[in-house]
Amino acid sequence: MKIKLAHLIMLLGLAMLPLSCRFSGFTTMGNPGPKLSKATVFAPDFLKALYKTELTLHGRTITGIIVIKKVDDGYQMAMVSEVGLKYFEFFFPEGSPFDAQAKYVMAVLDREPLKEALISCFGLLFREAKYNSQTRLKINESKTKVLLIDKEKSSRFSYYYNPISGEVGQLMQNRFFGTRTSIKLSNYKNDAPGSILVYRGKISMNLQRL
Amino acid sequence: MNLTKLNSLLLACCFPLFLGAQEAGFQPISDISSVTRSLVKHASATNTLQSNFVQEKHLNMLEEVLTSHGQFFFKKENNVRWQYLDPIKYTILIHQGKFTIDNDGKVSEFNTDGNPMFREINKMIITAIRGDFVGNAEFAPVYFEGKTQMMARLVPVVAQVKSMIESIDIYFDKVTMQVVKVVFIEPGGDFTSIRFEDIQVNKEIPDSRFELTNGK
Repeated sequence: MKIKLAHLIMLLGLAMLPLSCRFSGFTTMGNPGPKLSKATVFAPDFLKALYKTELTLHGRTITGIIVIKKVDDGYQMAMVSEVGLKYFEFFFPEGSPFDAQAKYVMAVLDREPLKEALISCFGLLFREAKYNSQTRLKINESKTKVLLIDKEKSSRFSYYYNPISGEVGQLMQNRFFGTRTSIKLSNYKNDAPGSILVYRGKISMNLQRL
Repeated sequence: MNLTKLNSLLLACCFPLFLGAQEAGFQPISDISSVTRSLVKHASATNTLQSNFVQEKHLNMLEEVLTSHGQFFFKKENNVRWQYLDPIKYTILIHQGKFTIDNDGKVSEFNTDGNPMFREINKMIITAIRGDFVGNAEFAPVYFEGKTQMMARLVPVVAQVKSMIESIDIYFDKVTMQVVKVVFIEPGGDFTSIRFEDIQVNKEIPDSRFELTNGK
């Protein structure tokens, strides 16, 4: 029987699939134990932060300052230009940040797909990782990074974080039928990340804490 | 009463609070022609302007005020250097028909014709700072007078500008007719106040001030 090259590549690909977890360097955690911290982007004592921001939307870039403030029932977030004009303001309810409300969006930016994308990106940032029976926890070989995977509705969420401090280094949302969102976080300063890089389709954001 | 009307009413009720911070007792001016004559005369006699500025952003969601400092340079006809020094480094340059932004070393040139939002923001700022709005069909001005200052409240006529700005309040020194403060009031009540300090009029400013290669 002749095996065509295309078939061979497909077979090789299928053979590699079970090994993919091994390649990523993470293995399932047996018993996480009480010492494992919870994945955290904004610490429980976080109050507010200002970020110098560069937001690229379909090739066009706007810059300014993003203000994030913790309130009793969620997070408030607004972006203002350097000259002071407000581009948008959202409220992200605690526990359901993807149900955010647009409090204000400048008319020229007030497009439904754009609002959805902004809510999706910031909602992911404000979402708390779920620890339940569906949650999968993996750890890398050097025991310095945990990968938490949990599922909600039609999305899979991945959190790469420090098992001791709980600081999240990378966040991802993979939707079964939708755009993938990826957020890289670093330079934590006590209560919040110093650097936030967001990628979602044709939208990208670079936030540097002031 | 719909929400927009309610917001407008609330804004109107709150507005005296903003004025209170500047100077109490502003009254509408009856002799508008005399004021506009003075403004036109002053604008035509102003060849250059330079000053420091303090910008304060008041957001309803935040108790604290976001404060920025910087320098402003203007030279006739349309040369502007609007430079933020703290807490961010950000410079807007308008020179020889080009619009350039230096965002902390990242330089970009903008075609304001292709970016309506940018064009309108730019126009508003320049109009406000120069005090050069008499006869500008895009704003409906109303004039007020206090003890030492006058205030022109510009209400945008164009729908796109209206959606960004409820009004621009420009405060002038009554003696020098110099713009001392500009307040941009947004729909919803957030506002930005820009206070000019150490204003110098008609002092020589080299063209190189409006280029990024010098004085960065």
